[in-house]
Amino acid sequence: MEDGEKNDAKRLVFVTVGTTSFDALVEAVVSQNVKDELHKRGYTHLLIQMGRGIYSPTKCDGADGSLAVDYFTFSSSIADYIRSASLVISHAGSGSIFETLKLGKPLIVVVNEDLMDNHQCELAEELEERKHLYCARPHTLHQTLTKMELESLLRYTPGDGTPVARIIDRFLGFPDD
Amino acid sequence: MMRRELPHDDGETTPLLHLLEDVTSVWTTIVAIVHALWLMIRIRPQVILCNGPGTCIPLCVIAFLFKVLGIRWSSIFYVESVARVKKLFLSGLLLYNLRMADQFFVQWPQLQKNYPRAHYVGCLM
Repeated sequence: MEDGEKNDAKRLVFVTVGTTSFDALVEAVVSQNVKDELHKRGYTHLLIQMGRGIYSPTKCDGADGSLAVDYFTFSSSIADYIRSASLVISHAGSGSIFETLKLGKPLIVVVNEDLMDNHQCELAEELEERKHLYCARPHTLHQTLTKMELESLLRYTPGDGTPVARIIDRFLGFPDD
Repeated sequence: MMRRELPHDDGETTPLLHLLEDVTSVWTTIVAIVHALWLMIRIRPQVILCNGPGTCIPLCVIAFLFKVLGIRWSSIFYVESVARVKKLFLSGLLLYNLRMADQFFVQWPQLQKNYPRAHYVGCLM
C-alpha cells in the first residue's frame, strides 16, 4: 500500500490486472528498459496491482532517484489509485478500461496473449482506433511507451442508456415522455 | 442464478476428467433450467433484461417456451456486452438467430451491420 506521503512532484504509474493472473505484464512493467523509459518521461512511482499473479516484483523506495516500485494483490476498489495516477497501464478487461476512461486518465491497455478466445483485444483495438487509449502486448510495451503522445488521446465521453429505455418503453406500449 | 464455471484447459486433464466435466455440466444445466422455471412461475416477470454471459440462457429459453405455449408473461430484451465489437457472444447468437429476444441491442456499429435486426444504441459505458 502506498503511504500517504504528499509529494508535489509525484507522478504515479498505476498498473492493474484486475482479478486475473497476468505475470507477463508485471514482468514487462518492471523490466529495466520500461522502468528507464517511465523514469525518462518524468514518472516517479510505479504501483502494481498484481491480482492472482505469481511473480512478485522487487519493491524499491526510489530513494536513489530511480523509479519507486510497490505492489499489492487486490483491493476492494481501485478507483482511488486510478484517480491519483498520471498514467494507467491495464489488462484488457472492459471493467478496468472503462473505469479508467471515465476517470479521464491516460491509459495503455496490454492484451494478454496467453488467454484462450481473446475477444478482449477487440475492445482495446477499437478504442485505440478511436484514439481513447494505446494498445500493446507485453513484449511491445516498451515500444509503445517510447512512441506514445498522451496529449493526443481524446477524452472519453460516458455513454447514455436513454435510447435503450426509450426503445423498450415504446415496445411495451408506454407513451414517449 | 446458478452458474457453471468452466475449468481452464491446462493440458493436464484426462479423458476421465473430461467425462466428469461433461456429466457435471449436464447436471448443472438441468439444475439451472429447473431454477429458471421456478423463478418464472414465482416472479412472472413482465420484462427480462439481460446481457452477455450464458447465465441468461436458461431463463430466456424458459420464457420463450412459455410464449410459444401462449403464456405471454415476459418480454425479453438482450443488450450485447460492450466488450463485443465485431462478434456476438454465443448467448447473443442464440437469442438473435432463434429470434428469442423481443428486442436486441448492440453497442458497436460493426455488429449492427452484421446483425441488422439489432438496435445500435452506442457505447453504454
